[in-house]
Amino acid sequence: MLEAALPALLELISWPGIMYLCIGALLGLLFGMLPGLGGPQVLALLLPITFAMDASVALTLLIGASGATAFGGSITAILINTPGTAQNAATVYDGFEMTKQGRAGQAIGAAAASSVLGAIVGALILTAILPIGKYLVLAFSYPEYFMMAVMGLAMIVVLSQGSLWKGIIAGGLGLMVAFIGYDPVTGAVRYTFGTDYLWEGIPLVTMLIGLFAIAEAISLWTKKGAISTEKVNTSMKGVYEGIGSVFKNFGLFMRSSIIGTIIGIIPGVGGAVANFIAYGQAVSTSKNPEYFGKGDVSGVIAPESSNNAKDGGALVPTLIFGIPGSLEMAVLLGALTIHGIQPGPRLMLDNPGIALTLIYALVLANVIVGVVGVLLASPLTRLTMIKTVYIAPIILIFALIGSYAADGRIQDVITALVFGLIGYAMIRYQFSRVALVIAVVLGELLQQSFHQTIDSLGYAGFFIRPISLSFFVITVFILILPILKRKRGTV
Amino acid sequence: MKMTERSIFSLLLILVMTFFVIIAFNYNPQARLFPLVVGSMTLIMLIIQFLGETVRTFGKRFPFLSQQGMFSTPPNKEDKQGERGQTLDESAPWTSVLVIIMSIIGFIIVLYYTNYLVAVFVFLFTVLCLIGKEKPLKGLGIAIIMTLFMYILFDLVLNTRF
Repeated sequence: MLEAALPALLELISWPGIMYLCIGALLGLLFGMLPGLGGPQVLALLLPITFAMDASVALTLLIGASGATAFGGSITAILINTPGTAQNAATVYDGFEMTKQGRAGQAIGAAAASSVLGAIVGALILTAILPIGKYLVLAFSYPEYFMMAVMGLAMIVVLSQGSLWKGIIAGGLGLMVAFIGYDPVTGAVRYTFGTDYLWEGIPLVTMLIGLFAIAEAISLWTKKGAISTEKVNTSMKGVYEGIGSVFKNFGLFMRSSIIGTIIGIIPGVGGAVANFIAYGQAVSTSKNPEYFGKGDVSGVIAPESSNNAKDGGALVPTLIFGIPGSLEMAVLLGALTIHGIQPGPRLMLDNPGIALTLIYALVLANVIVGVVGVLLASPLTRLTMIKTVYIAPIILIFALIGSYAADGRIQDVITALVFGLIGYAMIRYQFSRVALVIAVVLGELLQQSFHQTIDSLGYAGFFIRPISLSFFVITVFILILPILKRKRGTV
Repeated sequence: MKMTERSIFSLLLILVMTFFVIIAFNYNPQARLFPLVVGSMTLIMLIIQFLGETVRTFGKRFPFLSQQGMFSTPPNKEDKQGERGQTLDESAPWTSVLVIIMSIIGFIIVLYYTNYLVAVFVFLFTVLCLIGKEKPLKGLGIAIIMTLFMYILFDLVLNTRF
């Protein structure tokens, strides 16, 4: 792997890789700042654009955009009390308080430094774990893949935000969507209703564009007014003081980063959870917990370092096992497949350069947006004042043309619209879109590895192999956790 | 029994899922295994969900229907994002959504019969002036700028051919 490290870095920092990284990072920053939009939306919009690109350049663009959204979201969280993305929700508690106290510059400086350093910690842990992936290759076969898919589904559905019951239903709906099309193992063509278009199933990109970009544009449009009505007031004083505060609270920063990385590794949990858990540990380990919520800079450092470190962690299951650690990773997984790269245990053997490019791009994207974000915080925040009547149609145009650009088929645009409506209804009636998407991604792996295991090893195959059995035990444990939690709550 | 928007959506999902489960019986035993198992389970869950939403006593009897995910963020007025926070006001009229959908359908029709540049221009100018109630000159300016931007991005930079 080390021999691939230098070429991957050189490719990334040479032309045009660095240009695409900057573009991706700036777009990610922009989308992160726009409430309601974030990593999934920017990735869904950028994905069709990358079709004509070289795989490494395309992935650089995508990971750059994905990695930058978390910091973008922190700017609006700090300045106008509106988290740009779900993973910045905990940042508002102390970030906005600091702004009200005239310490916005310090808060942004702390957020920028935490984001950059958090991403580096996450990437370092990821780099340390990835080489072990090679040795897992021979240990994994059909039963392990099946149990991994089951485990991934169990975690995603159980840990999805909001109603647990609806999360499971959304997972079921996602699996049914995954069953559409030709199944190479059983040789059947299902739910195509006589159309050739559905032969290969619902295109993942089109579905994502619909579920996120179009659904989000519709919900923005119906809200009227501007995205944000708060008066933006930012001061750049104290930025350096904020950066320095991360080093003064280095223990807190490291703990939060490690928490973020671990949560990132668990499929389906993501930054929205990471930032709250990191914030919670910051409060519980502080000598002065009473200062939290009143403008304590630790309340910015903890969530911001964890939500950036989680990106490195989320790449672990994505690259080694082909299981997305978050929604962004689900889209990235689709991008890898589209560009002919099969994530999974063989990735480190076949394409070690790609994995390293992703890691470096993640770190560099955070460095770029950290610098740019601090310099341009004030003018960029004004974008949130744009009326939704302007921004929503433009998002729609990009989404619809993006879905059309994939294959030049009008059916893709119609499919995107249908999933846009489904996504909007899911937001409106609180069904988890994350559970649906992850189920779609894992559905194929689930049923194919199931049939392959039965054909080659029989039903006992799932339980006679140690790794498969371990995954089964973990899955059972994950599934009974909510029951235990409920019982404990009622006692 | 009280029908709400929410329960109507659940009912729609029940109908779709029932259709999918029935269709699954046409496939060979190996191919229908997963759709039947997953579809039936989801269907049962949807029916319970529907009953919980429409029959008050049913909802109270089954508290798991309202149980939150393990790591669901606590209710907070500041938390406007995330899966939970992104819930929309159900009183937001579906008529305005319908207008947006109709405009998108119009965009698709223009796209199908002409090309994407015409579709982008017509869509933006129309929605900005008619739905957004902006001045025609402003709408025209934004539509022209965005059409040019799309042309530069897709045709000149990315060399995409639709």
